[in-house]
Amino acid sequence: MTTAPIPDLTSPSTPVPGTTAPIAGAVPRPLPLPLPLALGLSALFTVVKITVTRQNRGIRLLILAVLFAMPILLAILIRRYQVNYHAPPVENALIFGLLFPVLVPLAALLLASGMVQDDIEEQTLTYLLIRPIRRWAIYLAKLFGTIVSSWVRASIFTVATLVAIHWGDERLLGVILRERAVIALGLLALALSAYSAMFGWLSLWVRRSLVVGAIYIVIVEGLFGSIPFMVREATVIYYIRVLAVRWLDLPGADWSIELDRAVSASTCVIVLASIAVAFAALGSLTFRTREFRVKTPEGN
Amino acid sequence: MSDEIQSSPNPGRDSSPPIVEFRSVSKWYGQVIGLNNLTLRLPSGVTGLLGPNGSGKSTLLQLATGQLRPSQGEVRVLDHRPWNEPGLNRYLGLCPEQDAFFEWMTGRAFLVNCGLLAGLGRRAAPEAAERALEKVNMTAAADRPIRGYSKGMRQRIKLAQAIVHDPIVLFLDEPLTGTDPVARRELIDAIIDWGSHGRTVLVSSHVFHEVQAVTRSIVLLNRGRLVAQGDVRQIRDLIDEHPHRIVLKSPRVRDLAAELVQHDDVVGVEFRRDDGAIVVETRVPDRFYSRLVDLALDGRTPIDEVYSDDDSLEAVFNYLVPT
Repeated sequence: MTTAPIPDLTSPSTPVPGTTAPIAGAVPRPLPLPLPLALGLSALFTVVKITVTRQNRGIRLLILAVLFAMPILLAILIRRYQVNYHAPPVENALIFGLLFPVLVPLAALLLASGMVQDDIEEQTLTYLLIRPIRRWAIYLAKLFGTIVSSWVRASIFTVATLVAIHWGDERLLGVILRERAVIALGLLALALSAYSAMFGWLSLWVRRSLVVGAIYIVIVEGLFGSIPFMVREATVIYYIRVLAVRWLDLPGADWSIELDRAVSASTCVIVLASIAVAFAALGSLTFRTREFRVKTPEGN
Repeated sequence: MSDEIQSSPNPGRDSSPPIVEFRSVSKWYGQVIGLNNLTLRLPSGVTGLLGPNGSGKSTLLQLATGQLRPSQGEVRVLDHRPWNEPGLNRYLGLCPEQDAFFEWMTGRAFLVNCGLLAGLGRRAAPEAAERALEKVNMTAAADRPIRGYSKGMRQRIKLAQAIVHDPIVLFLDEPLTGTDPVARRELIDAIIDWGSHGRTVLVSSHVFHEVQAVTRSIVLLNRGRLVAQGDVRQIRDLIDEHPHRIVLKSPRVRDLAAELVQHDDVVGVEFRRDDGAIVVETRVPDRFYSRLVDLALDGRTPIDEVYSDDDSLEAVFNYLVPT
């Protein structure tokens, strides 16, 4: 804990900061007082905890639960009605055709766009800004809490979807959950980190970040990400798909990905991590320099 | 008139170096001015920050706590610039005006979290929260969710979060708004007690008699400018020339009105249709406010909420600042 001791102003033997009228004979202590570093771990953990708690409450939690339940429901329906059910193409369609390109960016958008905005609208940001915590650290703690919160939620539903798809398969507890699920959760972490950092930064600049983010998901990630041309290399989903093809042996032809011409797995990881770090840095810089004026009831 | 008041600021405290200092500070919100070339020096002790709605009180407090950056001039608190100096917040406490909380938390959890955010350790924070709860007399309700608190309880818990880390300088933005007479008395006592231990307390209010109850040293703001700074007695003579309007909410407003009109200092009672409250006009606010506590306690005429409908203060400010 990096905090400076607070002078006990009630003690007769303790100097009173900044006064020449000492209390009970105290010797005045010269100003300015030494300032703590303002990066206490307990304080930062508390910001993370408050962020996670807030994001697991209310209508947003319900919307995300309904969205992420869709692949599970579809898997059950396909199993019920498809003659000659074959799991791999269903997994490919539901996990990498629905969950990663649609639900994961939507979840990141819903949570990241509110991580600061909710505190502004509910006027609780004041309680964070008046504490001895550096502003950029507040932002990064909130972003971390958002990524963790969305990753845990997405992971639970992804594993549940895999179970629904492969139920009855003797490999379920082996290669499916111990290998494919673990890789899928790793891809989720990379995708959610990149998307959350992007949408968190966006929410600091755009008032209607949900609308702008949704347009971005449809046009850039959805449309550009599927065009077999260089433009798709500017999307997050392209790198996730390349990793999925390389690590999970998915058929790259579905997304026009030829492994011998596609970027390497390490490049994909570096690009996705760089996107996350770059937008997190931009967001924290914006948060550090931005004034968040609280509209008081008197409405001055 | 304002020059006369400014000529005798803070009797007996002139020699103290300032704890809070504004040097030619202006703050604009786009085309709107929040503070206009404000120069102000506040020593330790309790100071009242008085001004009508929109006078710049909250802007001043947000500048002093580093939430806002001055457009012009310099703000110094404990000889540090507050903007982007979060370490300074270890020594500062703010009770904000807005009625906002992490509603899902209990009062105790809220204070423990505020203590942790303020840099107290995992063992120190719960102990500090307990002390703060005792200070504002909220121990009994500490484990109830904040969303179920009454207005008075919310004000108390908001004050408690401001003092949980034992700050040296305490900024209170309209801390008595909406409280019942008993809570008001207890909060006033807590503020006076805090200021009497060598801390610096700046209490903002648009109600003269709230400020007068906690300190004799006041700063008057209007339209973002410093109108006057000095002893409370000089300004109260001006204010008492104007009828003071007080809004009271009660489940039995007619009984309350009947009780109040029996007293000579009450010169008028008006029933408001929109919220069922009554607006009382008095020329002796001190006597009126002291009587309210007894009325609330005797149980015959319960009072839920008291606040000043302070057009009278606006009139005094207009008098002090010739157009």
